[in-house]
Amino acid sequence: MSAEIVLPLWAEVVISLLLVAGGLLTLIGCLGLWRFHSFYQRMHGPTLGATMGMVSFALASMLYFSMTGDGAALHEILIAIFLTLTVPATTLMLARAALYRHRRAGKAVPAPDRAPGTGAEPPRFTTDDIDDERPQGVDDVPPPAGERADRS
Amino acid sequence: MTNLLGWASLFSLLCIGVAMLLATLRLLKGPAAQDRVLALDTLYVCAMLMLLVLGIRFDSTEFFEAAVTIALLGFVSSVALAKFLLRGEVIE
Repeated sequence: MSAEIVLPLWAEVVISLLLVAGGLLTLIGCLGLWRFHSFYQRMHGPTLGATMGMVSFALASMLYFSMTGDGAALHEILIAIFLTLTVPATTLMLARAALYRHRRAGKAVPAPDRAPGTGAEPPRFTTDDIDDERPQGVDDVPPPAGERADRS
Repeated sequence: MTNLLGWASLFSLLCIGVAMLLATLRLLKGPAAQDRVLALDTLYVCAMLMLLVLGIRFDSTEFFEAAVTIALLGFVSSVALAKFLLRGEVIE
């Protein structure tokens, strides 16, 4: 950390805001990855950090190195472009792999595409069928009070 | 490095650290293989963001090259793992 570099106040405030926003977005995204119940919900969390978080940090970095170095430092655009291209590709491949594995396992996920008007109507599905982290027994109706008293 | 920027970068480093901890928990817990791959994907993106913040904090452009390398190799590894989940082998 070099103390002799002096940034203008507005640049410092903007960079700090971008850093704080990016950190919070990344944290919220990973909180979603940890808290959501089924895989298809969990996929949506980390994209927050991979899109807005990444843009915030790239903008902060570009602004900081443009203000401190000589001339504009735009090489963080490389990371932004690259992640914008690659993250949707990996997410799509992962979703396809999960769908394929769920179908193989006989879970109630949407069937492969078919021509409209042909074949039978596909079965309705709910997210409960692929919910692998729902606490068990929460929805169970408790037995009536008298019955419980008889048993104890 | 002035005071405000130091605190802001420290805060965002802490946020990314907690985020990586949560992703690691999902990596260890993940009920299915695709959850673990997703957690690994998240981990590399978070590590890359952390390197960007470290570059600002230590006022050095050398962190940027490490971030680019992580982004490139992380993409390749995630695609390979997803392909493995889909087909059972990586190179056909």
